[in-house]
Amino acid sequence: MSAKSSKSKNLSQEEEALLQDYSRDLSTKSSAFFYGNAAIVSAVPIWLFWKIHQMEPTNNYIYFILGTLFTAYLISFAYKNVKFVLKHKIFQNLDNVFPNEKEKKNEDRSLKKKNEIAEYEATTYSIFYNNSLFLFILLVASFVIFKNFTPLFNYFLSMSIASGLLALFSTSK
Amino acid sequence: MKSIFFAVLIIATSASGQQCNQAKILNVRTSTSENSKLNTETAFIIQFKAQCQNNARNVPFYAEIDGKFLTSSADATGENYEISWSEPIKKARSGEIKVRIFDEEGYGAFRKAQRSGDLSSSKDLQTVTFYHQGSYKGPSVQIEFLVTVLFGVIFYFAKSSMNKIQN
Repeated sequence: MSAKSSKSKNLSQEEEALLQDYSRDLSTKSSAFFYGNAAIVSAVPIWLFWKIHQMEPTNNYIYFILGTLFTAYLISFAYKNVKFVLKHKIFQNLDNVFPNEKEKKNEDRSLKKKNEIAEYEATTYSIFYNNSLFLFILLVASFVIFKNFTPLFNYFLSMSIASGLLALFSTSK
Repeated sequence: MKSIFFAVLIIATSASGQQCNQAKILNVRTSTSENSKLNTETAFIIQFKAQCQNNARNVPFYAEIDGKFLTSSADATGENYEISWSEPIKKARSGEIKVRIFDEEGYGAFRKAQRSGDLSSSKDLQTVTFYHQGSYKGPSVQIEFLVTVLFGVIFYFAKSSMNKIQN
């Protein structure tokens, strides 16, 4: 019994790679990349609300910090989800790019290569797609829907709705 | 006492009725307001210096613009005069504007000529011609609308590319 359980616990390298591939968990590097981008995109509206809606940073820095952190978390959540969905689609499309590398000895190398390409493309595309959607929703919310609200409410509502909708749409397939 | 009082009255009335003999209009400057975003009406201002042969100061001058008359105001020196008027932005015309400046005598003669219908005999001191280029009314399309549309186009491009990948 104990031998069986120890066998099941010791997964092979291939199984681990497969689990990693189909998992939503990110590597440290990818996480840092996503959180960094999310923080930058969340901080950009501060300039908009400061210059256009006249929210002085010295008076409202607490709200800006809270809003940025909350939005950055939701945006990075959306990045992760969209990247996960896209990666497998791109991986499947890459079969057309490497059609001849099907021999056993080259299979691992081609899989690794395709995985890297799919990982990179899915990451960058997820960032591009989510950033454009976030900024579009934010502009519509702050200049059209909430334009008559006080700047503080405008900031919180616009950022919450933009990042909330982003996270919500990212959960669809 | 009474004689002194009457003398003072005579001096006062003669001062208020002082006429400018052979007035010379100098240093004419004109300005108009050109930003409709900052103003509710378009203002027109003509400033000039008037030198009279009899050194009269603070005398009334009259400006005729499109058949309407305006009186001038003077500064503390009594030599520098200003004629100003304003019009609603939508009504204010752009282009060349001619303003005829009269002294009191010329103004009386012009009104007489107007009533008789013969304006050729009226003589002004000077005709000031200046150009008003019109008020800037702002961009015809708001910039935030353009930016929103731009980001909408970028998102549309991203979405259509994503659909291609998924299909």
